[in-house]
Amino acid sequence: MFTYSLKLFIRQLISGNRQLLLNILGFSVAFAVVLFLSTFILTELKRGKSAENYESLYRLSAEEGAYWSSRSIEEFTGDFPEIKGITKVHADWADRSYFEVDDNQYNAGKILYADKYFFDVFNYQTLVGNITGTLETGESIIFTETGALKIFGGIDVIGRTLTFRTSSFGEMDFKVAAVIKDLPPEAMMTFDVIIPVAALEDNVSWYRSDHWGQSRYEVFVSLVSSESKTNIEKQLNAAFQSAAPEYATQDKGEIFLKPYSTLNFSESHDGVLLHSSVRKVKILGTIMMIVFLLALINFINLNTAQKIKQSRDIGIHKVLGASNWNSSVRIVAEILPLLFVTLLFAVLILVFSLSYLNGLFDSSFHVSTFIQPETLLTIVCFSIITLFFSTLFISSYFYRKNLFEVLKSNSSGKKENIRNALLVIQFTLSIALIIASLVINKQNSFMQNQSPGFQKDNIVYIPLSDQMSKLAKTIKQELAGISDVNNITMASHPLGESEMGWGMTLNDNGDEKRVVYEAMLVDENFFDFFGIDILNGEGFRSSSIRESEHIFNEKAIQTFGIEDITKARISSYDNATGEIIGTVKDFNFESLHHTIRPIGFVCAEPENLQVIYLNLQVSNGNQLQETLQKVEAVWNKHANSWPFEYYFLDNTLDNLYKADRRFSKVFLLLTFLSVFIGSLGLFSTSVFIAELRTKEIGIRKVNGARISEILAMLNKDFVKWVAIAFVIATPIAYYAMNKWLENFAYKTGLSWWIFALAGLLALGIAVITVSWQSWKAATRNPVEALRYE
Amino acid sequence: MIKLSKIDKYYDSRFQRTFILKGINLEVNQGDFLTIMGPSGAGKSTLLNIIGLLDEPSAGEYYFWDEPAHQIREKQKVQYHRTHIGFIFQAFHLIDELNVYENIETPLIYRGVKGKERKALVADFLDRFNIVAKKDLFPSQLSGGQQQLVAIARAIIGSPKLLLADEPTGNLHSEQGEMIMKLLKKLNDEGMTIIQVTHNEKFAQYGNRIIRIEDGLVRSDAMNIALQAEV
Repeated sequence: MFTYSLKLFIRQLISGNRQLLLNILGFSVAFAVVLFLSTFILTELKRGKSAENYESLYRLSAEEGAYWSSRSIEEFTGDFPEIKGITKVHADWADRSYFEVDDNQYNAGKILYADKYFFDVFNYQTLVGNITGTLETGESIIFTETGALKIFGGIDVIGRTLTFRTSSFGEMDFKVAAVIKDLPPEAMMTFDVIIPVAALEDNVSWYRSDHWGQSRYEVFVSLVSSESKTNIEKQLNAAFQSAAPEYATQDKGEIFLKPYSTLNFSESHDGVLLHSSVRKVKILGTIMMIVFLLALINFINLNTAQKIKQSRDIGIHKVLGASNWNSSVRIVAEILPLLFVTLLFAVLILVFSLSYLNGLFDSSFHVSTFIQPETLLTIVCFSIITLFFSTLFISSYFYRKNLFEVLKSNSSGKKENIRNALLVIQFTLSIALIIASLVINKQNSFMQNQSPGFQKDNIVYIPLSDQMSKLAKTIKQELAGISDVNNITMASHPLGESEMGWGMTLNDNGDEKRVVYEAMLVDENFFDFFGIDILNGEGFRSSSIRESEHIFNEKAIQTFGIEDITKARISSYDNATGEIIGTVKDFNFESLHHTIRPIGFVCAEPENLQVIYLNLQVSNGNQLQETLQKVEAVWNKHANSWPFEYYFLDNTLDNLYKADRRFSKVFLLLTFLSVFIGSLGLFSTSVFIAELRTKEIGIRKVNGARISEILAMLNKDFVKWVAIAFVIATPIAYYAMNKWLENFAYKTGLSWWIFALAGLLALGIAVITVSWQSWKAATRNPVEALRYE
Repeated sequence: MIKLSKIDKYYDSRFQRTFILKGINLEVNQGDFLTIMGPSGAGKSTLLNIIGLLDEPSAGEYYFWDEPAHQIREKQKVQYHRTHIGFIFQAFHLIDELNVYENIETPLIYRGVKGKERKALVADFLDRFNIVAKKDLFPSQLSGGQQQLVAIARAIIGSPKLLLADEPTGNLHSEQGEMIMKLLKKLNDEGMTIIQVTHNEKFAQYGNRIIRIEDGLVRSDAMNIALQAEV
């Protein structure tokens, strides 16, 4: 019976059925989307659970952040028998790092600095070499497979030497000690290379620090058993309290162990861990369901239409003795191979678009990533849902009907309500997605075009390496001598980045309190250079006391509750009190995702600053190149073969919104696909309806209807559905997007034109899609239409 | 074997009831070759469809093989279609996607006949109808007469007790029509009960009993004297 039905289906397939092809195309795209998104979401959900011992793995955290100083960590590495391992790591914070092998330079990739206990806590599979003990001395380096391939072109590289240069730590030599297996896509701690912290301690003089507050490490703890967690927490708190009572209470607060697998969604600080956004996962999950729903509706509609056209056949089969069960088996037998072919196409689509999707989603999926139990289960589930609902809908057309009617009639009047309802759902989803897309785009361009409150055009900045900073004064002078360099200033780090959180003691007219703020060391003409208004005082002068005088932004003054800045003093751990000599107008020194935070500017000598800003006065590309060549010449004079590198400030600021743009692109793609799938369905429905009404159209034409009237008649219904869908979609989208915008500190408005545009777009797409077919039906010779009866 | 008593078929519209059939009493015996005649819209096809269990009467009683057909269930109907009734239509109603062989085979599949037996049966029928050479052709490649031939083969391969023919010659020219009618006659001679609906006075004469229907009523019911004389 089943094979018989299969044969029938294949015959139909071969006979070149356009509807069937559309059916397969639309559903394949949807299945590819489902396959990719479900894998993406699964990976995000599983992030952090790839480590074998993740259940007894924790990050050392405190109320005030999860970063620790070397000094603090010493207190935890004492005698705690229930701790299996405790390790400190930090990410690379250099502007640029690279390896040099045989005079070739390679981008370093993602670097992880780890101490010698790292492998006590994290397990990795070694491909070649040996990882035990390698991080104890500062000479060894460990690569992942990909990292090694990139630099050496192979993994058999044990003992190879290479030079590591980084703008933050200078130059070091290493020997490759081991190559480990690539990390799975769901790994939370990702890196291409591990460099021992010992190497930095040996080679970088300023790196070793006994300050309690030099919090640069993230600390991970592996316990013998997860049951001892509370106990350990108590012990750690006690140890820390007794070692540094003031620091522990004031700066850190209660210490606790945060389970490794919960870190994934909890924080979004840039550290060594990758983070997933719950919001993103939810949004992508929703879109995945929408795409699937759209495709499922298509699938049902198309198959039902197909069956209605074949209703005569079904009638014949029934006359020949087919029972309802037989008919259902036939439907299943037709849908199953269709699903199978669809899946096949979906996999093909996925394979061919994988590199594009990986780029778009910033993922690193391989074809094999999709072959895992969860993904297969998802596919099976979605297939079963499809099979079930399509069989149900299609069979319901024929079960109740009088056999005689099935055999004779061509059209089906009553069930059109269901089809119309399904179409309205499709339109609603499409319109809602279009609105969302438009809002996301508007928000992005709003953030990117909003003035940050300082001059950002025509500014180039050059990060200096540690050694070059020492020559900063000379370099600065020479650069200032270049004719097209309008102005020049320096700072500790580029605007748009925030990397120095300071916790200091504020003495406000006798009242002492701890204040936390973002700090930026700057040259004296910094505010003048960027056109930032000084509200109070005269700003830094050449006579300013370096490393001591502060200028705060309005927000800081307001947050700290300072009434008279002349009476306030700010101090560091060194107790060097500094005056507050002024206030600057608030400006966005970070991306517009954040509201303006308190920031303090401290005047510093050029030697202590790492970034040189140049304001260039150039009118065209050639002149720019010439100027940059002159700048490079100055650079080369002092750089000692360190490569010249420069950035445009506006580009850097633009890059702050890279993730937003990426998300916007992802959303746009998914919206486009959804609308495309919806249009396919609409197209097929219009073909079907035009066919059903062929006779009616013929009769109307014979009776003198014009083509335009026929077109209007055929399109009228669809316009009505779009209108209904628009009415339903607007409040839903309004609510959803309002909610989404709440995540931004600075948000654009939901203008009425967004909704109008989305409605018009949907209407336009619908009318064009439908007219394609209506036109054909309307211009047909009525004689042809009426000939067959 | 077939007994209709006071069969009504009507449609209710808002203001009036339109009768297609009214008070039909009819009895058909095994071995009959019944011809139903009448003008367009008289209710011939409706009557045939009711007899064939494709349609249900609005009122009245219908006994099919002494079973009250007006109250049997869907499942039983399917069984009757599989084993008791064969149909042929004016428009042939062959399945376009299946070739001659497969079209003839279809009812056997629904009856659950095993593959080997099916093969033998179909081969036998192809032989009997002289269409062995055409077994791999599709309906679109056949002439009308040949299509109807295949349709008849398909209708009777399950050895039904009753063959219903709804204007079997309506789409054929007279020569092919003649051939089809002769075939039906032969089947009847072999014992098959046949009920045919036709417009064609000449072909009506192949039946041994002719009833005439007009406006839903049986106007006349007579044994076919001419035929009997011929016999």
